[in-house]
Amino acid sequence: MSKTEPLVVCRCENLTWDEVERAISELKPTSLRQLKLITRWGMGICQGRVCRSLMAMAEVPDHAERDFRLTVRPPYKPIRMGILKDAEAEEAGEPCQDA
Amino acid sequence: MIVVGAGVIGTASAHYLSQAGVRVTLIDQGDVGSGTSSRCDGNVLAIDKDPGFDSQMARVSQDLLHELAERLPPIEYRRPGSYLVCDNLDEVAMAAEWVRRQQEEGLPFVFLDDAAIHHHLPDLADDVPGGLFCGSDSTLNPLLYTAELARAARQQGSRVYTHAKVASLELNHGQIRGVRLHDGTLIEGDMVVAATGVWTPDLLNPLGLEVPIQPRKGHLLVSGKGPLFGNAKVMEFGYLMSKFGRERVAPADAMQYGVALVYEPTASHNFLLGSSREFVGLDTRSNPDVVKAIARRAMRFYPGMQESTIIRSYAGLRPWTPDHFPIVSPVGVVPGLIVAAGHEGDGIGLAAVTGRLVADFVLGRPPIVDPTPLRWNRFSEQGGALHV
Ligand SMILES: Cc1cc2nc3c(=O)[nH]c(=O)nc-3n(C[C@H](O)[C@H](O)[C@H](O)COP(=O)(O)OP(=O)(O)OC[C@H]3O[C@@H](n4cnc5c(N)ncnc54)[C@H](O)[C@@H]3O)c2cc1C
Ligand code: FES
Repeated sequence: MSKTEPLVVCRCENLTWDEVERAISELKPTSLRQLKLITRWGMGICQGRVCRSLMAMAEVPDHAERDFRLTVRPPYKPIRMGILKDAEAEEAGEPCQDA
Repeated sequence: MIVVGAGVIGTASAHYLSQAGVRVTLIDQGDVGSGTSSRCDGNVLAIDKDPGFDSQMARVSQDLLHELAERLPPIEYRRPGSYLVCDNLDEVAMAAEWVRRQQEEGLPFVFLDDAAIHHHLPDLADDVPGGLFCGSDSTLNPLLYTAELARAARQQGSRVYTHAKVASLELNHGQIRGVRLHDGTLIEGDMVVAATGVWTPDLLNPLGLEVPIQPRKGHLLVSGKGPLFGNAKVMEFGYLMSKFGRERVAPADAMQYGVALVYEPTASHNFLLGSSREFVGLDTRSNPDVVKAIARRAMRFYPGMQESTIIRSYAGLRPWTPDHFPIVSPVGVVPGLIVAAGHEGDGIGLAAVTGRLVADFVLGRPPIVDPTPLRWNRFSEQGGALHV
């Protein structure tokens, strides 16, 4: 790998390996989750599907078991917000009062 | 001395203490910021605080944060102000009243009528009839803030232990002498700050100390990168209606999950949408029905969001107290013990003033704000619960 070309490790968030190393040395994250929250690796539109295996090489002290399945959270894959509106819009749209 | 809990409150306390020359051992059962402080928004608000002690404490914290942000490495701190938008004319009348009361306190509030609100926020639905603006409100990245406070404390000589759960507080003749970790290790210290968020009752109950902190769950939705709907944060006025003894009017799904619009653009060119309020224990899994209710509420105010993409959601646990004030207080009956917890939906904003106050207690300095309304035993005092 050339030293001058920055190695992009997370394409969605345009994050380079240099930035990852800097975050590790400065903020001393103690898990991949914390590294993710600091650098935003895995937080892009692909939800880490592309960068997960690369990021697994990051040197962070791991106290939890090394498990790279990210927590799956609804809506599970990117969705257009409009989809959530159309369906039961009428019934749920009825105004009601606070108890 | 020892600070248990490396959330935003514990790290801010460790920072102000170590800045004053006190050596701190900061302990967390997970990573720095692994609790609520990494499952939240980064709003630093005065806009929704009751005029009086509530809003003054928020303003003091905003000013302290403004200083802190100059000293710390970048934490995505900005001060764009924030808006509250109304759903209906009843809310507009109350919003005008709210602004009048805040202006009397000298706070930078502006009422925005129908024409003005659409001038400020052109993406709003046409039928939004008014709103208001607070100029002092700011925003930051809460996890970065927490991580940088911990780093600053470390640089000032504090030690940070992560993945070390405190099993019990250790006493000697009724006085604090340290904490016992889960693996049996005793860490000695004659003062302990319990900055343990929603887990605070677990730590204090064994000593017979009752603190009525409960987890109040909140969901957030994360958009993909794409067009934003303005650069300032926008919330709905509706959830303040109870402060006026009025009932909020909203769709059934919003009422069921306590959903009110929170729109927060981030430094990463996307936006967060919130939020819900539910008492459902310690479960932080996302509920798809709540996600849907939040998205629908957002589209009521921003019809253009129909074309936006939601890529993820998550949930955190606000440390709720019955009067919505935190507990920041020495515990007189256990010399050496200080509680700093129960900030509900304001811990990020109130971290600076809380950390400063904890340091004031430890160093015996005059407190930066009157700590009386924040005392730990106010809930059990006769008739004291809701009249602080
Ligand atoms: C959806 C949502 C949105 C929010 N938005 C905002 C906002 O915009 N602005 C704002 O100001 N606030 C907001 N909040 C509130 C804010 O997140 C909280 O008030 C704040 O994070 C609380 O900080 P804390 O340090 O008290 O708790 P935590 O961050 O939970 O820290 C407590 C720490 O103590 C540790 N701990 C607990 N017990 C032990 C033990 N026995 N041994 C060792 N360690 C222990 C935990 O691991 C944890 O790290 C929001 C909250 C939610 C849920
Ligand atoms: S490449 Fe990292 S989130 Fe997509």
